[in-house]
Amino acid sequence: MNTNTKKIKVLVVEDIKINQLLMEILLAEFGYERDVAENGKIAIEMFQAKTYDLILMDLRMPEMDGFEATEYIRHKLNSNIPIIALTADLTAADLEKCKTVGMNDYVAKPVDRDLLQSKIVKFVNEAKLIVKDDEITEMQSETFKYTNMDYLNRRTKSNGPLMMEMISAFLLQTPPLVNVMTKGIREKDWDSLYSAVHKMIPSFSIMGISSDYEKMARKVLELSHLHLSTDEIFNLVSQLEKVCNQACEELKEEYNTINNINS
Amino acid sequence: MTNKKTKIFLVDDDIVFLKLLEIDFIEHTDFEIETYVTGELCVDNIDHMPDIIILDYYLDGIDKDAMNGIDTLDKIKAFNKDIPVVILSSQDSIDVAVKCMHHKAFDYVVKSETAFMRLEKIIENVFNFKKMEKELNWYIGRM
Repeated sequence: MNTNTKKIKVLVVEDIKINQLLMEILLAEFGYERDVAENGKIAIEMFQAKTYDLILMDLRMPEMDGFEATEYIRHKLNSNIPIIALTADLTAADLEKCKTVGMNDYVAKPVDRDLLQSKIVKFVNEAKLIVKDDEITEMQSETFKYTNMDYLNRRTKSNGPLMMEMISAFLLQTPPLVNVMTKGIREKDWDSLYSAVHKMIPSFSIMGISSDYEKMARKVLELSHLHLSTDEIFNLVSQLEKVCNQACEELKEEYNTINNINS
Repeated sequence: MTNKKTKIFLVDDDIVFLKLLEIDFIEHTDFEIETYVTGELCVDNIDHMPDIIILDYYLDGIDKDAMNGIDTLDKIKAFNKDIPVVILSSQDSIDVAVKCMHHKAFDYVVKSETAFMRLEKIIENVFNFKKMEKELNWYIGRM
């Protein structure tokens, strides 16, 4: 028998009763052990008393919210336990904050069953790997990333050279598009803005960039038809700019990693 | 019968999507693939005699002077009206679809995760159609 089938233990931090129940039902279905804490403060107490594999953290809670609790776990307790934020309406500012306090990822509520399960499995497995080769890997802070290689891995059957070709294509195409986009909004050239964002969109899902940003981009397309310089469109464009730039940085690293493995 | 490989042109200015499509074709089919990032390049190389062309609709987005998909389609058809052209579009709009059909596109596919599967199916249909056409002509000739 495989000894690795030890049950995954999840700590759910959530103040609303019905959401607590919902998560319990889901986690029970996955066959995981689970405990529930009503707020960040209780979660920290429970976390210190018992070992968990992963924390699902609501953001807004009384006493101590998800951001504070995460910050405490990361900086005061120096723990790298995977923390996934649970959130009903994620704003760009929240996302930024999730990243800053050191959350690994987030899942939007209402929670998609399969997505939640795949994320839990992914992070628990990654955490195990990190523990395994602790000596050689200096704890790479597995913080929030905009991109992931899941889709490309699947589509190319993890073929390194093909993945590198795809990443190169993205790195070649995206920076000029970002320039056209930012120039477009500066100069109120709505057609160029529209075209640039329009052309970016298909790449997002290919590079594993969250569909939230795709929605953001589609919103820009919609707003660009109004031909109005509103704060909203400015904010969205600057968000997209940041996402694209960050994605390029991440993908450059990804490219080098794959290159090293293959050479 | 010659044993020449079927040749397919893929034309799209979105090089990320173009690459993905190329990978799909190379991994899953035995076709000979040529890729072009502009309509102009596609038309310039039309004497390579493609059997089918997969053509993006919105080729003039970033470069305003670039030839758009419909003009490219017209040029291809002027060269040889029998080359089947399948139009790819990122927006699913009835106007785009109708326009493509008026300009004699063989079919119209929306860019999505399932686009490649649709294209595979359409290409199969193209060959079935060509075969039937040939057979029909043979029978008409004997009547």
